[in-house]
Amino acid sequence: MTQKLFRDPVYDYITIDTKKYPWLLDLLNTAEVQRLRFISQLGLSQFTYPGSNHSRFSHSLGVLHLMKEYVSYLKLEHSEKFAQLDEEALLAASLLHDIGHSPFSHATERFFGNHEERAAKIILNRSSNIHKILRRVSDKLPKKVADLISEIPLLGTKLWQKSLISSQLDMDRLDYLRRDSLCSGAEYGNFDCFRIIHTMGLTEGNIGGGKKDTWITWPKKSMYVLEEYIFSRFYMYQSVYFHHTTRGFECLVTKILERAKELASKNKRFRSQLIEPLNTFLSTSNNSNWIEFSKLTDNILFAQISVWKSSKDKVLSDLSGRLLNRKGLARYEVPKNLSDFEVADKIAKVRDYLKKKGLAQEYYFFEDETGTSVYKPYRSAIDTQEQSSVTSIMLYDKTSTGTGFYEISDHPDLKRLKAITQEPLITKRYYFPKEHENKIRELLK
Amino acid sequence: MKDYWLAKLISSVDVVNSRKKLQKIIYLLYKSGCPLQCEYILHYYGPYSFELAGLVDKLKSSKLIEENPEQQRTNVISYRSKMSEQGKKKLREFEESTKGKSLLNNISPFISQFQELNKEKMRVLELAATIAFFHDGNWQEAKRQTAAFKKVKIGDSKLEEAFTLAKKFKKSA
Repeated sequence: MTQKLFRDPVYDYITIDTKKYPWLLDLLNTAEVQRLRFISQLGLSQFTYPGSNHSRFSHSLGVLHLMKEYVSYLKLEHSEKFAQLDEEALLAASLLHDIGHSPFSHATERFFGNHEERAAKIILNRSSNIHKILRRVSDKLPKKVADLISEIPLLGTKLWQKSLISSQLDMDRLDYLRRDSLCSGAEYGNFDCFRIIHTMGLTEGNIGGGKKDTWITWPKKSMYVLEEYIFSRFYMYQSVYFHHTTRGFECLVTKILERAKELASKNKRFRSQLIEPLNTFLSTSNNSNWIEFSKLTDNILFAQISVWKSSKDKVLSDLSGRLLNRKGLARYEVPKNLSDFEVADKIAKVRDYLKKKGLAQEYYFFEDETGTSVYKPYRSAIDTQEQSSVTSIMLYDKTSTGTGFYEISDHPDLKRLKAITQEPLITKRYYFPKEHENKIRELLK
Repeated sequence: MKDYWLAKLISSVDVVNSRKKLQKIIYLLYKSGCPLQCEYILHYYGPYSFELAGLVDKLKSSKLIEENPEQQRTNVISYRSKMSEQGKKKLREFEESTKGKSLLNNISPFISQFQELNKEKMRVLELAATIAFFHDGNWQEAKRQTAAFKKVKIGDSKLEEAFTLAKKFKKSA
């Protein structure tokens, strides 16, 4: 057996069987996947956690590794569940799920658009290298892979398979929590991943009167490792992903891009001096040019921001300097019991104050709202789709008197999970220049 | 001030029976020109807005609204939303300010429509919102697309009811 070996800090070694999956290695070598080496996995988290310099490339390899491990384990008992091309589609989707990410990953998504939809478009585009390689395996493979990645599940996609790519417990999350934890040094993200993968089963059943379906399930004995996984997510979101410093600098990058876009729309000279391919994205509102997009990386954006630091436009040069010199931003966190309309007057006063100080308030006073659910219990009245492995983590206890299925947060032995799953984590913050902190805090009192 | 508008609408009725219902009502109001505008996508149950879902989460987290689960049938729980006493007080206080008065004026014309839609059956709202979503100048085509999407027959009584409702709300824009 010929194997391609990769050293990896999380799994020690990742292997690709080059005889069985020669096309997988070809996919890995495409420009679209190689580009992920230059996209940081955690955006500007390195401004807070200096070790968080790992890339989307190592994460994508990690997701592929977990998928490969799970598929081989699953095929030992459930090979009948795999139709033709299912295995290939799952492996390809796990490697390709992040190819649509823009520089600094989620940090610039508001500016450049949703990464999942872009990934699906690149895979379906007949002229992309990825599409050509997948088609060499089968004409049907590009669509099958795109359906697994696309945010909205399409009819005909097996939901248990889709849940392995994107759900409340998928290979993506299993990899990024441990990898981000290891690289950032925030150890809360670690959990027993091996046990989660090697006790994950498939069970037929109908829940809530729905049609019979195949569910990803875990035996009761795995409930504590699942609980550990959910708590890991909670800690990582609170400490790393939603860290106030990181979020502040990520908002600052968006402000820099918005200012540059404004200048590009008015100033031909400014436009002509932009580094390729930024001229495409700042001059038009068309973000779908994937050929230009494939040239867009963290390095390009950092290089451009370094140039902008000396821009004649004072706002752009100041904002760029603040980012590159990591010049602190002050923040105000809106108390959880207050609604937007209750603080609207105070916010308006701050904007007036900055205006009087001669600062463009739209670039120097910005809001950031973070929101996620570490685990969202399924509620038929709220959710947008029927209950499936995509929406629920299910325990299956064959000795139980009922159907045997338990959604994890409903299990009587895991009541403490409700403390972190009942409410989504929502935080609203405003950021402003530190030199105006005292006055602005006074206005916000 | 979307959170204020949403809170004001919810406060105008005793209770909204489910979040799904709220989604469809707000979508139809949006189609009739209501200032509470969110981005929508077409999902299994018709138009759905993640932004609106986030607004409801925020109102709940700041304790302006209360959500109470109610068992409908086995395994089906509905979450009934209503304004809390604290929420009503906050709205009253805000409406005394200049900003509050102006925002109240914007939403006032839509309060009776909200109350009317809140009395409708869930299934009819779901179909009406879907028809309004598909409508692009041709009502019959929108009805046909909805029938195909929701797997109902043309001529189905609820579809016809929904059709009338969708036309009424989109026309009033």
